[in-house]
Amino acid sequence: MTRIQLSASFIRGVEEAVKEAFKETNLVLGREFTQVISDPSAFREFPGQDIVDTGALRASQEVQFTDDIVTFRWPVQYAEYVHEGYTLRSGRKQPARPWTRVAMRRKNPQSVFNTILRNKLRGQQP
Amino acid sequence: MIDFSKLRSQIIDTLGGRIGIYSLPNGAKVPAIAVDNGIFPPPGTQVEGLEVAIAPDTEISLKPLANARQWDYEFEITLRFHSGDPQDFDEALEKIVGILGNQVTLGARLQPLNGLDIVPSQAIRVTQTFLKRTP
Repeated sequence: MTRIQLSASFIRGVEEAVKEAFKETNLVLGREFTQVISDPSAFREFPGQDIVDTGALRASQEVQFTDDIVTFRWPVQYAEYVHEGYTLRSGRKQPARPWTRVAMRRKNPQSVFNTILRNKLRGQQP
Repeated sequence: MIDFSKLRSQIIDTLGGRIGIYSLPNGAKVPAIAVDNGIFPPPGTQVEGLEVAIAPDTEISLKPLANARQWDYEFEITLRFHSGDPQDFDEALEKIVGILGNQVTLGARLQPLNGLDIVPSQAIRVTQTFLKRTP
């Protein structure tokens, strides 16, 4: 039988690294959301056009951390209409421009988190 | 793999009378559900009640695992509420989510906005995961 005991300081170090990696991952993600909003090639239904009109949507991003949950918000009235797309009663359709999903495809949060955490844990001694 | 024609039939069965009506330009009336391929419903179609649009464009991601590969397929269903009792919208949403299982993300519920006469709508994003063992 083999018994392995992790030191309390190692466990604390891992927990701290996970928290920091989570926060840093979401900062990367937040930057990517803004990049996609400004990218004229992000949405094939709108070739050569980014989402930016007045810049209010791009500038409105808010991020809130609560323990292990992060919430991104764009508190301008039309944000969800741009993100989801819509249909008018006249029948005209405005395609969706889901910048959050495009950003998360470009920067997969799980992969980003894994890389950041791996780098942080390198050198930690059990 | 996703069988959209089977999914269409399941939704029709599940929603029953809650599903709206397409009045096609040739006068035919059919359930207001479309696997949106740009062909159906044809231009000039009138819609009443709840419309269900299934976007078959799937987003696929592949994850290599130790002894298998995991494919995640994502597609979207949009409910558009052209007319009727708003309570039907919630009941229809609940029923569709019920048949799709637990890998569902709901988009924002869109309502008419100042200056835009928008058809109330809600997107349902569905992720389905398939595993295939690698030799």
